Amino acid sequence: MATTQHQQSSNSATFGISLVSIIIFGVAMVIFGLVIGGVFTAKILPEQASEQAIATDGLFQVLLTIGSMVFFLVQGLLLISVIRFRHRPNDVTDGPNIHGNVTLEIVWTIIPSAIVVVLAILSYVVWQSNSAPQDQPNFVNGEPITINARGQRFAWTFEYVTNVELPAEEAGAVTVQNDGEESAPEMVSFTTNELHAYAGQNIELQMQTADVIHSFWIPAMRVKQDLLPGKETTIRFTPIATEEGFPYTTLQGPFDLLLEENGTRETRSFGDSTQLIVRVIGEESGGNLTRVQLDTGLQALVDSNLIGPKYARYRLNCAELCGGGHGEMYSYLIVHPDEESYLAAFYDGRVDAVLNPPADPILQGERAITAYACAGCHTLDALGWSGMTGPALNGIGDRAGGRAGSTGVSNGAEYIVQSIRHPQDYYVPGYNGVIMPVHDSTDDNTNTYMSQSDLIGIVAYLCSQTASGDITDSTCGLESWQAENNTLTDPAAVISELQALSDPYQE
Amino acid sequence: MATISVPIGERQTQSMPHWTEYFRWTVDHKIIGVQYGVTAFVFFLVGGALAMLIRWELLTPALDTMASGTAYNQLFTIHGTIMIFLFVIPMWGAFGNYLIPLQLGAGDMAFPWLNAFAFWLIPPAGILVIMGYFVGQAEAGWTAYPPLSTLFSGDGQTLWAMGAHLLGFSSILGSINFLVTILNMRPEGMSIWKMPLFCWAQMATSTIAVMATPFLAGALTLMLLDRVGGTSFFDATQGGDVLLWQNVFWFYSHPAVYIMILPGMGVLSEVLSVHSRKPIFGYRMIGLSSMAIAIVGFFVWAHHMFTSLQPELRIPFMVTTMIIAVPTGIKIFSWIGTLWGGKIRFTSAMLFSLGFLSMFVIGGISGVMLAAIPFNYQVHDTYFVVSHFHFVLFGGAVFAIYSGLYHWFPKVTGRMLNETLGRIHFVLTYLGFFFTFFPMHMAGMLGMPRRVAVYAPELQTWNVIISIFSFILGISTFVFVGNAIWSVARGRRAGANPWRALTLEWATTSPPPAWNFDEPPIPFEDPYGYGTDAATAYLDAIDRTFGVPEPPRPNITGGNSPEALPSPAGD
Amino acid sequence: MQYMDNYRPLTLEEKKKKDRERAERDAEMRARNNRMGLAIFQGSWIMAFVCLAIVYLVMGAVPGWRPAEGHRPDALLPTIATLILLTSSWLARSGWRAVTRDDVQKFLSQWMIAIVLSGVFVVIMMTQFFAISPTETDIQYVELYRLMIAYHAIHAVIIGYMMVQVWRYGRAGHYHSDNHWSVEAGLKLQYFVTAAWLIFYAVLYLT
Repeated sequence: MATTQHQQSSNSATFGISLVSIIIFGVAMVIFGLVIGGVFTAKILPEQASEQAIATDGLFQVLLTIGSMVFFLVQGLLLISVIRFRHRPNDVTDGPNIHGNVTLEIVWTIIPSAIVVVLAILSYVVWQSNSAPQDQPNFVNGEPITINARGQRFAWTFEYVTNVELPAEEAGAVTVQNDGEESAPEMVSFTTNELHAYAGQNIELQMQTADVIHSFWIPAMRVKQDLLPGKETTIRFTPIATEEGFPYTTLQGPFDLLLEENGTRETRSFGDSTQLIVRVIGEESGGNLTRVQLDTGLQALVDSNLIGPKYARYRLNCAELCGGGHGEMYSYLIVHPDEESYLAAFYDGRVDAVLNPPADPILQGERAITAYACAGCHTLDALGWSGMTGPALNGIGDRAGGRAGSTGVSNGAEYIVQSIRHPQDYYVPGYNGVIMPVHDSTDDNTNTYMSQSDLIGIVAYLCSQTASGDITDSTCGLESWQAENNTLTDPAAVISELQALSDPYQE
Repeated sequence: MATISVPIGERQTQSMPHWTEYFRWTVDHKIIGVQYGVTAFVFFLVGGALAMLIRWELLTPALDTMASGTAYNQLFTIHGTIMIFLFVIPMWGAFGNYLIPLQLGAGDMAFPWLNAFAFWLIPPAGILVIMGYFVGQAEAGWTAYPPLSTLFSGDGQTLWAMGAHLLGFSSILGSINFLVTILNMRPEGMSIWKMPLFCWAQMATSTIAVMATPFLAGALTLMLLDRVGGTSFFDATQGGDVLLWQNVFWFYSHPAVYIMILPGMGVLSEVLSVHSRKPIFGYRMIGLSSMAIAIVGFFVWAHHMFTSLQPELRIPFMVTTMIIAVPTGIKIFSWIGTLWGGKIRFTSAMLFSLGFLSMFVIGGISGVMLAAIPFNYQVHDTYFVVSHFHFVLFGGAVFAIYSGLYHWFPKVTGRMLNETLGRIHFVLTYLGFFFTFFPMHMAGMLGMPRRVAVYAPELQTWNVIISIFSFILGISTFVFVGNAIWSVARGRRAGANPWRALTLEWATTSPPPAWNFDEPPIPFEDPYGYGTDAATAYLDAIDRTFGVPEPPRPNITGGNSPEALPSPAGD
Repeated sequence: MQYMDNYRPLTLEEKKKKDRERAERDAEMRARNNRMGLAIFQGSWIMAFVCLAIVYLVMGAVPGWRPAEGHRPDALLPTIATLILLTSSWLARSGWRAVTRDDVQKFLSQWMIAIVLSGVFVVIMMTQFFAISPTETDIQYVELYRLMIAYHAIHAVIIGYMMVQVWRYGRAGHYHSDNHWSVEAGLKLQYFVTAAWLIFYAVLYLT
């Protein structure tokens, strides 16, 4: 009967397998796993730029090693089987009537179980150490600050609530008076489109979303966390100095670039207000020139004296589908080498701009506009924006005057005001079905609140965006828009003119 | 010796039903099976065409082929929806419908009318989903996470939800039918432990479908109310909870992954045993591991939410997810045990099954990697995940579907598929598949999120490689389509049992008569009992009763090589 | 050890006997199939109710989601409705048992009362649907509360309609001790309505 056949044949289930071949196979499997795990872990992962990355990559190396062994085991056995046990011509017999082997079946149940238990424990340990709250989070100047990350279709904004107190007279204007209670002192805060940190700083972000679910992901940091409507989520990571160092720098205009393209060299001059982020490759011609690489992949030579403070730069993605511009919803994490350069290149300047706001509305607007999620949908080279969902803002100052005619407003500046306050009033051809939120000025608790003063600065800044870089080419049609050395001669007049223009749009 | 039960006598060859039968309401499970299969395959071609567009767009890191990001999002939303709800699940419905009554020696399903009804829900559902293109197609991905799907996506999302509702209902009705047929209509002498493993797999699958699909219905009801009924279950600004959808949706949709892969494992158990002429290794463990996967599969859903779930709830789901690797491993090793010592015939059906084994194991390994939470943070919602589930659903389910099509095509049509074209199809599919999806692991780890049309320029090399091979993969489908069309009309006559298999579907003519069996067939004592004299005698008796396959005609069929002919196992 | 020659040509006598046996077996199998199919359907579809109940419990776990004590719906009328529904099921059951004993008159009267009671249940629950109105803070609660009542009512009405059909066929004399599957199916669907409601009742009024 079947049972007797089973017992007889189970002895021969291992026929043709000697101990030696098992050992050879096992050794080959282990070597294969170790080699794959050792060689490829670093190659198929991005730069290891955080403390969390080191731990995660260690775990991945274990996973890859064990995975490669399993791969080798299964594919190897499969290959041996199909070669050794292929059907020979003219053989009309069936294979042996073997129904199973209890020992083997127990073995291949228990060993995988043991492996996954080990992996689960290991993962837990790494997870525990990576996600636990760190010492001294967000320390700047020896004191913690708060960094709020905000996702909005399709851009990131980062609000820094610093540890510098706002002077009392300014704070009073915005502080909400709680009945009798002494409110905490108002702190200086500013908003950026890029996240800044310094090597060794323990970053802890409080994250909120303005609309749908987004997901904060910096591949080089190996961290990811969703931003959920109605909830606040937290993410923690610690950037470190990597082997690649801090290769990026920002070239501040004016400067000349010697571009190399397809073997030809061409000099291109950049104007006053240009900021160009490049990757420094090395010095040439005895140190006078420096070879740099642009984001487009082109290489160029530039005067070494123009190379400013250097930093590292990592792409920051949205990883959860959030709509048409999902792929364009990225920003960068800028890691400065140490706290001093962080303060010098980023922090102190931003704090100072809040404490001593520039009189020039163009400069005010350049600061203010980065607090809003414009970058996700609009392209504006001057600020490094590359969104494709909405119309490009490059050279908007040249076009605004023409558009004013088609929308029926008095001049180009008013057209821009209208586009921000009432985006649905006029659709740029090709961008029908507008998804830009209405930025109103009534309720500062809403996601899309924009104050009158921010609006004025932003309109002035956009009016200054001309293809030539010369702000007098602007077609915004403001009477007081006079410039000398490419700066406004009477900023106060421009502000009051814009004030008058935009007041009717206040709601 | 064992009991020898042999059918004797002569039976005539049947011809296929008239082609118009396939466009009518009918309660014959075999016609319904073909209706399911052809409908699903047509949707496979549509979904595949969408995938080609996706890959065309991704040749460059900027948005160029598609008019807008929204149009691109609609592409992969409908690609995913079609492939999951309108291709893989109905395709397994096709196999289940055609084979379950035959393998159990029954005349039809338990509820023939319900069976037809379940099928006829599918075409309108498919039309609803595609109709979305006229009213603003759904753009929230097949997972349709709110608030994107409730507050932003076009009206197509409403049609999408209604279509998914219908398909879920169809799936429940079909599964009730399968379960009752399997549990109630086995012939005398076939205990549940002597049932073909395909029936075991369908039993596990149907159990999942009847338990989990109502949760999809619940979630879709909430979504539809949010979209058209003015409620706000998923709108956080009104106090709703977006994670509610994710939990309920994945409580259905993770088990749905097993709905899509378990029948494939059943197909593999049949094909590997028959074509290596050796009993299946560890029958009980394979059957039980199907049930184990089905049960554990209900407790892993939140591993899709490692980046959104409350941190303290993440660890239990990591553990359950890793545990589910164990029954899967049991199956893989059992299949290798089946091959070991056999007489492996490299028929097209066998090649696709071997392809399944070697590709699915990669999906299994990356599955365990994804379960490790710290690594999951890096690759969640990236091309690593895209790669993982295509290794499971293409390298697994689609390879198994092809394997099953080559294996049972002779039973359905009475004619063999061309083996040479079959091998060309296999080689193109295997290579195209591997080099399409394996590099996606790297792209994902290096920083490519999924569902993007715009990506970092340094990832372009990977994407170009992926796209080129995906086009090869797309072309390979037409080799099969051509082969099938040609073979239905001109293929070699198959006879009743071209592979000399012991399960009952082969103990009748090809194609079977409308009533399936002239007399209640007598199952062989062991559905996989190859290598005994009794099995040889049983197979010989079937050959005597129903006739043997037509010998190959190299000059007409375009070169069927002799070894492709399944030579008799006995004599 | 028997040699099963099932493909041997049969004599006319043997053939008739065999056909008769086969018909009996088929009828028996159909009955078994029907019972099992209905049971699986019930087990499956009740999951949709379990799903909504879980949604309610999960959302209810958030503090402040449910309305304050005074504003929650009164449990008195729903409790009465629940008892009415239970009575309805019990009467339907005794009606079905009457059919199995060929007591068609009793079946018709019991079944009729069961239908009427079920209708009373639906009407009472509809008053509950409208009795509660959303305030600023509990809009979510009211939406879900209403959804659950309406979702159940739809099932109760559809199945009630089926029971009416069964009653009409019964009056036409279709059912007797050998043919009462439709009655049994109607009864089991009424059980389903009752069980689904008990789940909802438990989460809506007892938690």
